[in-house]
Amino acid sequence: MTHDPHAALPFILASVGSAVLAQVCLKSAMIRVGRVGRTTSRRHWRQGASRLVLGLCLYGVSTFMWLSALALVELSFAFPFISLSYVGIMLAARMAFGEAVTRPRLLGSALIVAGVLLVSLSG
Amino acid sequence: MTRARGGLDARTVQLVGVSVVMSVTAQLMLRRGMAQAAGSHGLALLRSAALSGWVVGGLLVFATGTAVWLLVLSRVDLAVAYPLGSLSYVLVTLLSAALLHEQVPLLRWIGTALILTGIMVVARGERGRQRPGDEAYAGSGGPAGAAGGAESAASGPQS
Repeated sequence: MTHDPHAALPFILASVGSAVLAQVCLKSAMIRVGRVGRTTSRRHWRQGASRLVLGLCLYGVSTFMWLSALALVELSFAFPFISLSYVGIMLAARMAFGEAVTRPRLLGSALIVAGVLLVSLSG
Repeated sequence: MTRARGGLDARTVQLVGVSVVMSVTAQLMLRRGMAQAAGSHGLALLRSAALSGWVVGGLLVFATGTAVWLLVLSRVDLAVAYPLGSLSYVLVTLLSAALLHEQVPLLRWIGTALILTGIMVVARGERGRQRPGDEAYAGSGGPAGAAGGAESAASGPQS
């Protein structure tokens, strides 16, 4: 079996990227729907519906990209890249919702990126 | 999403265990199935994925694990959920070596250890923070997402 880690990188990164976008879409949808409870009406759901659907579609894309990656590389190589989603979500949440990037988040992200770089060199 | 007050009870620990085991199992199954489709692309890849029991089964296990992870997130703070979810990184690497016979170079282990440390640092920072509307963090991306990552939780798994 041949492994070409570098050919898989675009698929891995596309999978993580679309999962992050999906998360942002779902969050944005739920902001429109509001807190879900007994008083949530069909009208509330309708306000977030298009973003919910878009978010779920993006998860579909992410899954397809992930399967494409797993056809090319070992799981122990590909899986650690998923931790980049912590970093991606932090950045996306800052851009989309103005959430704070605290020092622990920044330091932790730096460690995660460093770890992923080492894994990428291990292919 | 209402957040319970961070504490860990026995029930939550059970749920975390189930969720992490399911998402890790799902990844192993997906790789097992896709390894047989090595080299195919696009529609051919989709076709072999859809016809593979390992892949279809893996996706079902993944979806269930993600649902359980959402239950976990509704019970504990991210400061607790993140480090627990990060267990999946160690388990995936260990079990890829043990069950899929992958050779894991030392560099990959060191990278995985750095990633774990990073997740712990992020989690420590979340402790006691009041973050209305920070639930975007709850997910970790991708089909790994759940418990990862575990993600993405509605993930993503991905996390």
